[in-house]
Order: sequence, then C-alpha cells, then structure tokens
Amino acid sequence: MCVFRCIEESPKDIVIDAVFDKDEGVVVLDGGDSDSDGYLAEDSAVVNGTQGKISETELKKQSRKLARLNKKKLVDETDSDTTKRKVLSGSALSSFSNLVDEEQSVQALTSLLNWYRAACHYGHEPSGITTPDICYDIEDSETFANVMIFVLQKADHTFRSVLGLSGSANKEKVLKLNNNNPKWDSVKPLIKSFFRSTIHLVKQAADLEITVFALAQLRVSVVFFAAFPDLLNKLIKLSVDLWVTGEETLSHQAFLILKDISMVFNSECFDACFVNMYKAFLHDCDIPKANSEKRLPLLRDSLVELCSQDMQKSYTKASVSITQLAKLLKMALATKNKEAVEKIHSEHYTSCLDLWVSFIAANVQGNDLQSLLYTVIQVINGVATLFIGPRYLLLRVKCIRWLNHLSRASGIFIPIASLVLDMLEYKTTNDGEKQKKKLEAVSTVKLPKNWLKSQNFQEQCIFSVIELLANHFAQWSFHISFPELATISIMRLKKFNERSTMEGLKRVVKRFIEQVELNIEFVQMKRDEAAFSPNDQQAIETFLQLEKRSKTAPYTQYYQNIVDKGLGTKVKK
Amino acid sequence: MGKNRRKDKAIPPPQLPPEVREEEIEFSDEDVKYVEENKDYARFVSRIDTTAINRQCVGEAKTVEDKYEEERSKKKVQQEEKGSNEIQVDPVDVLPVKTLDGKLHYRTVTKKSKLAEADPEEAEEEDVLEDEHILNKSQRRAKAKKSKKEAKKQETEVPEEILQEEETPQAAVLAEVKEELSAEESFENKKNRLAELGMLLLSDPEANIRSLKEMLDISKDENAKIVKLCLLSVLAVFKDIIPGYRIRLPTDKELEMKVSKEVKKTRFYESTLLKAYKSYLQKLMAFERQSVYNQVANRCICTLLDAKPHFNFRDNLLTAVVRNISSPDEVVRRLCCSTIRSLFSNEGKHGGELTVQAVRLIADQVKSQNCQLHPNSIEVFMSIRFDEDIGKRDREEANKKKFKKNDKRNNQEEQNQAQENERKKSKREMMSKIRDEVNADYRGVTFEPDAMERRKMQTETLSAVFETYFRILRKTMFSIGESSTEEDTTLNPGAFGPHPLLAPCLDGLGKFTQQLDLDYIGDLMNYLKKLASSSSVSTTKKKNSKLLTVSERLRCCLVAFKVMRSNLNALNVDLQDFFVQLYNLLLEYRPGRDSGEVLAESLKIMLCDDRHQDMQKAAAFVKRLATFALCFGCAESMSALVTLKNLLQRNVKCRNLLENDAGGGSVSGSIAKYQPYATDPNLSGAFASVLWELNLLTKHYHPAISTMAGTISNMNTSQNQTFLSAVTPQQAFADYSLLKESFEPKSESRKLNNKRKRESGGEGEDDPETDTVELKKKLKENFTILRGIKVDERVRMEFEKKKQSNMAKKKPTKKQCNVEKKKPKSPKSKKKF
Repeated sequence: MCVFRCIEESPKDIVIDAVFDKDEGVVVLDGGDSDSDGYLAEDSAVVNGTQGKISETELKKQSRKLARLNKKKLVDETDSDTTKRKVLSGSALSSFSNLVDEEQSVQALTSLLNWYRAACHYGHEPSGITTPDICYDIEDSETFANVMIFVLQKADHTFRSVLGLSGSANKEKVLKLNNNNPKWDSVKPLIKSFFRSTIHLVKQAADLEITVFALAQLRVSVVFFAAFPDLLNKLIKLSVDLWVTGEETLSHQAFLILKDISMVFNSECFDACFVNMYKAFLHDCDIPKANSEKRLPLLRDSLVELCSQDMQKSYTKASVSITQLAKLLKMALATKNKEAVEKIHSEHYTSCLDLWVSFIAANVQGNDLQSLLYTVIQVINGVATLFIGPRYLLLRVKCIRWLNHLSRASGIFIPIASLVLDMLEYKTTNDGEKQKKKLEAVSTVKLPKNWLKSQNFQEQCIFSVIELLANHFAQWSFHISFPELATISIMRLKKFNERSTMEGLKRVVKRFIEQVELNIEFVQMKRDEAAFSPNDQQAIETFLQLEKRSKTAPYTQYYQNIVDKGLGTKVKK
Repeated sequence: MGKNRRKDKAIPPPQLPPEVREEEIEFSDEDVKYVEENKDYARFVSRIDTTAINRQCVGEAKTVEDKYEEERSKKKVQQEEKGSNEIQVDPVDVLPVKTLDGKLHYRTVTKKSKLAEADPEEAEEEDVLEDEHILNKSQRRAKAKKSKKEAKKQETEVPEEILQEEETPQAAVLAEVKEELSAEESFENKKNRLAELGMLLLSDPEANIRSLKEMLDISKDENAKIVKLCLLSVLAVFKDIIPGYRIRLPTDKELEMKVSKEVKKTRFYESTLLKAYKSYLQKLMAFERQSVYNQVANRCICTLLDAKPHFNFRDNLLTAVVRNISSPDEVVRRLCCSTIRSLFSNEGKHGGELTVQAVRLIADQVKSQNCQLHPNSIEVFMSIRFDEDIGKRDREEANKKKFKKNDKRNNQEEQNQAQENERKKSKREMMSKIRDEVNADYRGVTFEPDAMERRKMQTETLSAVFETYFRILRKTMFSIGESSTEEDTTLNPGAFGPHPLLAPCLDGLGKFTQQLDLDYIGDLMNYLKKLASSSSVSTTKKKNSKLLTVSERLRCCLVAFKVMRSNLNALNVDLQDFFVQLYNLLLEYRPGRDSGEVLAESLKIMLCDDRHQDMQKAAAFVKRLATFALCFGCAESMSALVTLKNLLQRNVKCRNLLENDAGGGSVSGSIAKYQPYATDPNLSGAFASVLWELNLLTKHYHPAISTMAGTISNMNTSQNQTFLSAVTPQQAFADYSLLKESFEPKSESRKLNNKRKRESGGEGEDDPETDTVELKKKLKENFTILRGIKVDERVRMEFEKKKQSNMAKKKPTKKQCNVEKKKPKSPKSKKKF
C-alpha cells in the first residue's frame, strides 16, 4: 500500500522537488512588505489579502445599494473632513502629468505615484483610523480614472527615459544599473512603488477590464522586476492564480506575463513559473467546474506554449512526469491493483497525459523527441487496453484521439484500428468479459450502467468509431498502402451493418464505407500504374503527393467534414 | 520418507539408535534428494529441540553444566509458558492485569479471539507453534498441570462466595462480569487442555492414545473458535502420528489367537487410532457442510489427504476433495485443486491408485454437473504425468490388437505402423532387459505396485481423462448445434460462462495428444472441425452467448494440428479447413477479449512449423498477416511479422510479393486480381498483390516493428540468406506485449530547439486592444462605488463614536451590546441619524 501511495503522488512530487526551494520562497514572501520607501509608508495592514475576484459579486451587490445612498449623501457631506489632506484635483493632475510627460520630472512623477498608490488602495485602507501625517485623497472620479490610466500608461516609458534605457533592455542591463548609478537610486523606489501599487490593484480590482489593463501595462516593464526578486515572486504567484481562472482575456494576459517572465528571467524563473502553473493546472483538473470543458484545453495549450520556450528544461520535466505515469500504468497492468487502476482513470492522470501529448505534438517537428513520443504512445496504448468494456468509452475515445493527434503531428504510423473496432461490438455486452467485471467496481468516472442500453449510447459509439477512423484514414488517405490499411476496418463495418438493426446508424456507416471504398479504388488505380516496389522509399514518398495537397477529392472533404463535426460534438456527455 | 521418519521414531527412549557421531552419518543421495524435494515436511527437523530430546533419551548422564543449562531453560520455559498463553497479544495487554474485577483482562481476551477468528491459517500456525513449545517443555508442563488444577479449583470457589452477595445492587453487574470471566476462562482452559493433550500425544503416542478421544470431544463445543482450534490441533496430531502403512484391523480369527503383550498393545493402539481417526473424519465431513466451518474442514481434509494419501479412509477424503473442486469459494477451490495436483504429481505416496480414483471422480462430477464446473477442476489434469514407457507399451499393445482386428485400414497406415512397431520393438527389448534388472532390485525395497498394475491404472486414468474431454466436446457441440431446443439452460449460461470447461479441455487434449488412441482421432478431428467453424455456421442464430470465442476456436485448430503432428501425420485428414478458419479468425481477433498467446501459438504451430505448404495458401497468409499487422498493437503485429518473415524465407516464390511485377509474373495463379475479402486463402489471388503494407509499417512508431518491416521488404535484394530467425511468434508476442514494456524514455543526447525566435516577431499582437474610454468609464464607476463605501463607512464610524460617547454617559453596558448587534445590519439603520 505504501508503495502505491508514494507512486500515486510522485507525478507531482518529483517535479515539485526539483524546484522546491523556490516554491517555498514564494510562499514566504507573501507577508514580506518590509522595507518601505519614500513617503509611501507601506501599510502592513492590507488585511484582506484575498483576491479581489472573490468578492466581486458581493461588491456589486453592495455597490448597487450604496449607489442609491450616495446620491443623496455625497452632496452634503463632503465638507465634513477636518484632517489636513492632500486632495488631488483635476487641474493639479494635468499639470503634474504635463511635467512628467515633457520633462520627465522625477519630482512630479513621485507625487503622481503617490496619488496613484492612493488610487490603487482606494477603498481598501482601513477607514476611520486617522492616517498618520498626510492623507491623500482624490477629488472626483474623473481624476481618479485619469491618474490611474496616466500612470499605468506612462510609467514604464518615463522610467526608461529617465534611466536612458532603450526599448529592448534586457535583464542584464537592468541589473547593471544597480551598481552605483545615481539615477537608478532615485528611480528605484519609484519603480518599486509603482509595482507594488499595481500588484495591489490587480489583486483588488473588482473589474475584469481594469485588471487586464493593469496586467498589460505591467507586462511592459517586466524587465525591471529583475531588481525586485521578492515582488517578482509575488507577481508569479498572482499571475498563476489569475491564469488558472481560465477567463479568456484575463487568463491570457496573466499567461503572457508568465511567459515574459520565464523568457526574461529564464534561468531562475522558468521552473517557478512552470511548476506553479503545472500544479495549478492539475489541481484544477481535480475539481470539476462548469466551464472546465472549455477552460482545460485553454490552460493546457498555454502551458504547452510555456514549455516550448525552453525545451531543455521542459524535456526533463516531461520525461520525469511521463516516467511516473508509466510506472503507475505498469503497476496497474501487472497487478490490476485497485488503487493504481483508479488513479489512472482519474482526471488527474488523463489531464497530465493530455498535457504531455500536446506538448510532444507541438514540438515533435524539429526536435528529437522520439523516445518521449514512443513512451507516451505505449502509455496511451496501455491505458486503452487496461480499460476495456463499454463503460470506458469516453476514456478510450480520448486515448485514440491522442494517438491520432500524435500520429498526425509526427508523421509516424500508429495503428488504432483494433482499438476503434472494439467499440463496434460494444452493444453485445451480455457475454461475460471477466476483466471488465473486475474493473467495473473500480471507477466512479465511468459511464453509469443504465446508459449502456440506451440508443444514444450506441449512436455515440458508432459516431466515435466513424470519427476516429476518419481521422486515421484522412491522414493516410493518399498513402500507397491505404487499401490494405482500410481492409479490416471495412470488413468489420460491413459485418456490423449486416447485423445492426438501427437504420439510422446503418446509413451513416454505409456512407462511410462508400467513401472509403472510393478512396481505396482511387489509390489502387494509381498504384497499379506505379512501377516501383515497396522498398523504394523515395518513390513512395512522392506518390500521390500532388493529389494530397489539392484536397479536392470527395472523400478528403468527407473526412474533413466528419472530423470537424466530431470536434463540434466533442462536448458530449 | 527415510530421514525424517527415522527421527520421529527416535523419540521414545527404548528404540534409541546406536550412538553415531554426527560426522559419521552418511546420507544416501536418495534421502538428500527427498528432503530437498519435500522441504516443507522436513522443516520441522530444523526446529527440533535436540537438547530436549537428548534429555529425554539420554536421561541420567547429567553434568553440572547440564543441570545449570536445564535450570536456565526451565526458567525460560516458564516465561515462555506465560507468553504462550497469550500468544500474539500486544505486550502491553499481557501485563499482569488479573485483578478481581477482571475488566482489563477481558479486553485482552477479546482481542485475541478476534485474532484467532480473523485468520484460521494463522491460528493453525499458532497452534503448530504451540505444539512445538509443548514438545520442548513437556516435563515442565506435566508439573504445571497439577498446580493449574489447583488454581482452577480456587477460582471456581470464588464465584460461589460472590453468589451469596447477589442481593447488592452491583450484583447484576458482578454477575455479568463473572459470566464474561467464566466464558473467557473456559475458553482459556479448553485451549490449554487442547494444548496439553496434543503435547502428550506427540510426546508418546502409544501411551496416550486415549487422549485423542478427549481431544475430539472438545470439538463439540459451542464456541466456533474452539471447534476450529480443536480441528486444527487434532489435524496436527494426526499428521504426526499416523504411521506410514495402512492399518488393517485384526479379524475375529486373529483376535482369538493368543498373542504376546506387545502385539496386543500395538493392536489396541492401532484400533484406537483408527477409531479416533474415523470419528474425526466423520466430524470433518459434517462440518464441511456448515458454512462456518467449511474452510477449516476443507483445509483439514486437504492437508490430511495430501500428507497421508496411503492411510485408511482415503477414499472418503478424496471424495470430499473432489466434491469441492469446483466450489464457489475461491480459497476452498484453490486448496482442493492444489491437493489434487499434488496427488497427481507425487504418485509415489499412494502408488497411483488415488490418481485413478480422483480422475474417475472428477469425470463423474463433470458428467453429473453437465459440464458446468469451474475451469480449475479440469485444469488439474494437466499435472498428471503419464509414464512414457508404460504408456508407449500400453499403446503399442493396443495398436497391435487393432492391427490384427481391423484390416480395413489402408495400406499406408499399416506400413507406417508396422515400421513404427518394429522400431519400438527393438528399443523395447533393450529397455526391458535393463528394466528387469533394475526392477528386481527395486521391488525388494519399495511396496510399489508392479508394472502391470501400474499400466492398468494408467490406462484407466487415461480413459477417464479422455472420457471427460470428449464429454465436454460433445456437450459443447450439442449446445451450439441445438441451442433452440435447449432454451432454458442456454438462457442461464451458468456462473462460469457458456463453455467453462472447453478451454482447459482443449489445452489438455493438446498436451496429451501422445496418449490419444488412434481410434478416436478421426472423431476428434471431426469435432474440432465443427467447433472451429462454429461461429461462421451459426451467425444467423440470435444466441450470441453460446458461440465459441475466437480463442476457443483457435485452440481447436491448434489441438487439431498438435494431434496430427504427434501422430506423425499418420492419418490422412485434410487440415485445409483449419487453415481457412485461421485465415478468417485473424480478422475476428480482438486484443483484450481474445488471448493473444493462443493466436501466437497457432501462428507458430500452423504456419511456421508446417512443412509442406501450398504456395497459394502461403501467399494468402503472407498478405493477410501483413494487413493484420497494420491494424493491431505491437505485440500482435510483431508476431505476425515474424511469421510472415518465416513464410517468406521458406517460400521463395512468395517473395514475388515484395516486387511490383506487373500482373504478378508467372505465378499469379488462376485468380488475376487480389480479393482482400475472400474467405478462402486459396481463392484470394494473393499472388497478384504487392506487399505495400511494409512501407507503412516502416513508419510504425515502434522501432522494432519498423526495422523488421524494413528487413522484410529488403529480403529480396539482400543476398544474405542465412538469417533464419530464431524468434518464434510466441516469443515475439511475449516480448512486445505491454506488460514487458519498460516505459522508460531513453535519455540520449538529443537535439532540442527552443521556439524563442517565434517570440520576437509576435510581441505586439499579444496586447489586447483596450478601449481607453470604456476603461475610464469603468474606473470612474469604480471610484464612485469606492468613495461611496468610504464615505458611508466614515459616517458610520462617526455615528458610532457619538453614540458610544453618549451611551458611556447614560447606560453603560446594555445598550452597547444592542448597538453592536445593530451595526452590521444595513446602511438604512444609519440613515435615520
């Protein structure tokens, strides 16, 4: 038991181990707002560290109520303040911004940043308790918006022009600035304040668009984070949290930041970014959410994109992770151990596999991933053969899709026909398959039993068969041995048509058979004219390439149609 | 038997063997081998406490050291004794907690009993262990007995005293406690009693033989644990004391005769033993029917039969075992099957008689159950060993008779047989000479039945085995052919599937083809042919569940080939049909459902080993195997490719398939175009095709398959013809199945390109176009909201302050609480102020 426990968790563990120290750093940093600078007395009392996202709905409700009140109250209560406070007016702002815009005045920028900070923290400071010396306040909403937008848009540019950096400054340059540069010394606190405020804003902002905008602006000046490793870690954590929400623009923006970070600070931060994202991704898979059908692929794709940034590192990660998956599978195959089998059927496992399949498929061209590719294919085959029986239809379809995907991406041949054709006979489930029975009690994710007898299920089986076969055939439709490739499948399908009683399905199958036979005929005709032998590689490579490119053959379009439709109905269940 | 039995007997002092020094003892090879083979039985030797034995046997000659040693061991024993009463109880619980109220003590006991209940096997071990202890400390025990009895008396007195105080309110509780106490006490006592008796019996069976009865009586107890313990300890005793011969009770005449004291004593001993044994067996048989004791009783029965297959009443034991051979309880079934297997493989213990009986009984059971048994019950036949020599001679004689009898057989066959017989005859003569010499020596030593007897038994066994096999075949045939008439039985295919016994039956037939009588072969082949083609015949029928599976049909083909081969193709049976079956079965094969091993074996036996092949057929198979390889997993593909290669190597002309000759050249045969959907290999016109599949296979993801396909497609051009592959399809299948896969990505040096370049170009696109105006609006809104909250909060704070100060003046505490409750309610409450 203990062994399994270890292995069950190791897919995550091992990867985490590799970067564990960094991971820890991130955690520690959460409360580390120690060194305050300038006037910006960083209040350590930013109590509610939770993201603004959570309280979004709550806030909205409240706001509606308050809006009504405010209309009445705002008028007569503004004059009640007694403390001396700096109130930013519209005119002051415009003059400040002019100063910054035209002269790059550090002075003006400083006060602007203070206002900016106030704006970012607006409403989040503990009210009532009188603030120490000065209290920054903002006159009206117009000014509030302006200061926000101005600072966010111009800050990076101004920093750069003050420091005399070109647009494409890299990390090394920024780090060099650290050494005895008076300009840097003056600007550094400003940058830090800007970052802090913006991170706070992103954390607290109630509105999606504001967050996205702030993130986008922050991304421009990612380079400067080199000087503030603590803030950088904070940013990574924040971005991962936002990324995993899967809301399109926000997630995308957050991911772009992560990608930039991992690019700019490759050596240190790639691991941190990757591991955090990987963990968040897998953790997310465990909890089924309403939109996970859409979200998970999105997250997966961005994760793959990140991985593609640094092949060396991600190769080792993938290798470790896949080995873990394989180990688990091997155990399950050999011992039929209940726990291991259950583990394999979990979302966790399949998502992880899905991730690496996508990764390999995306990078197999131009990289030497043969051994990874081979292992992954074997693992998928193993998973497909481990779970037989109609109740695992979805898993099997998933496996075959992966295989098709890999085959298409890498151009190698992966036979799937036998796996697919199994599904044809799913309706005759009465005969006792011992193994199926054995595994039946195991998983909770599989289809419920009563589904199996429904017509819908059978239709689904046949449609899946046709879709997967079409995908497979489409890839090799112009290969010289296509007729032989299709022979067995066609025979089985014909047999199915003889036996089946459902007219609707029969028609679909018949049409498929017709199209494939057309294809067979065509290839056969062409190859009868050929003068080369099977061992003439080159000649075969060029065989029918022209036709393949033209994509006008009726069956090509037919396949395409089916595959597209299949993608459309993917969200079945 | 030699070694350990001798040691057993050495226990009673009088028969002490002459002193021989350890180094001088010479073991015969036979003995050593025997001990090695039966390590399980010999294990106790290592555990024998030689000092105890010595003490008992050598007795008086004690030196000072010995005395000291004895003292020490006594002490140890004492400690152990304490421990052994509480075997396997948590040491904390063993601590002396025998207080009068007894509660703590009770806890330990429940624990223990749970333990005993949980695992009878463990209990048995425990028991055996106890026995061992007992052996060591027999003397000590005897003394301890007395003191214990005294203690018991005292303890029984105590409750009486308590009885008188029943009036008190605690009486009920006390009574309860007492009851528990006494229950547990009696459990403990019975256990001890069992141990004592067992120990006595083991130490001196002849003197204490009467105790057996007492031991057996304990099994009438109501407590299931006690009964189980009792059964197991009696088993241990019997296992040890049953002599190596069968007891024959003296007849009346013999009883009348005057005999010496010694003989009388022995007779008494034997008859008591036998009586006790009989009643024990009766008990076992009775218990075996009760579900609570089923497992224990079966364990006892199996162990007895396995250990003492020569002893009286073995028939009853055997019947019981066979009855449970198809038990739904897996533990019992396994036990029974392994017992039967060990009977079959250790015939020396019972001279082979039990083999015949067991086979006979199983055959009867198959008959009575109408072939609805667990496959395991037939699989045991595979462990039967038929002595080749005896078997051969047997068959020869039978053949000779036949030879004389029916002259109708065609000449060819006669010739074949005559040649065979002559060859065998000369061989036999030589063999018999040697054997006679050996036998003369051998018979003196063993009490084995002579060759004639054995031959007879073997024939009987064989006939029973084959009877069973044929019964199963016929039954299967019947159920396939007339499924409509047998509706009610076909509806419930039984707990074991539609044809549970067919697979092991076919396996058995495959194994025992050597022993098969020629007379039957014709029928057998007919059966097999029908069974193999059953599916295609009855596709029209709706009863799917009754059809044979692909594996079963493949097995039929396999057996047919094996039968033919082992009989040197003596019979003129056309195997063509089986090839047609294989050709079509290849398409119906489904990994996961059907056994790939059987498929690989059929490829090997039917295609690779077939000597004279028809070219058309070979070409058809080559083509089909190539097509097959395109559709299936790597294990199947690999075994297909291995076969394909083998076929191409042996059929030079088939290599034309590797070339794209227009029209297939001169060998194209009668069919000009390849018919991929043909069901008959001879009509497929495979010679007109080209093995284009190989090219796609070179793109196969599995490197081994891709290289294999490469070598095959280059077979024609490469001149090196000596590369006969040594790998069989089965080997290939096993090697490339997923179970063997190491699943480890090789970490070689590799070329990895980062995709960074792509990044530099697409920098700008990633920025989402944000509408500044919209953003401004949002920010403004946000601000208003926030300000609203802020202002609201401030107002509230001020109000609170005022109120607090007011209240502090007037009503200090109570109101404050009120306010605090009100506070979170809603802004409305504040509006009033």
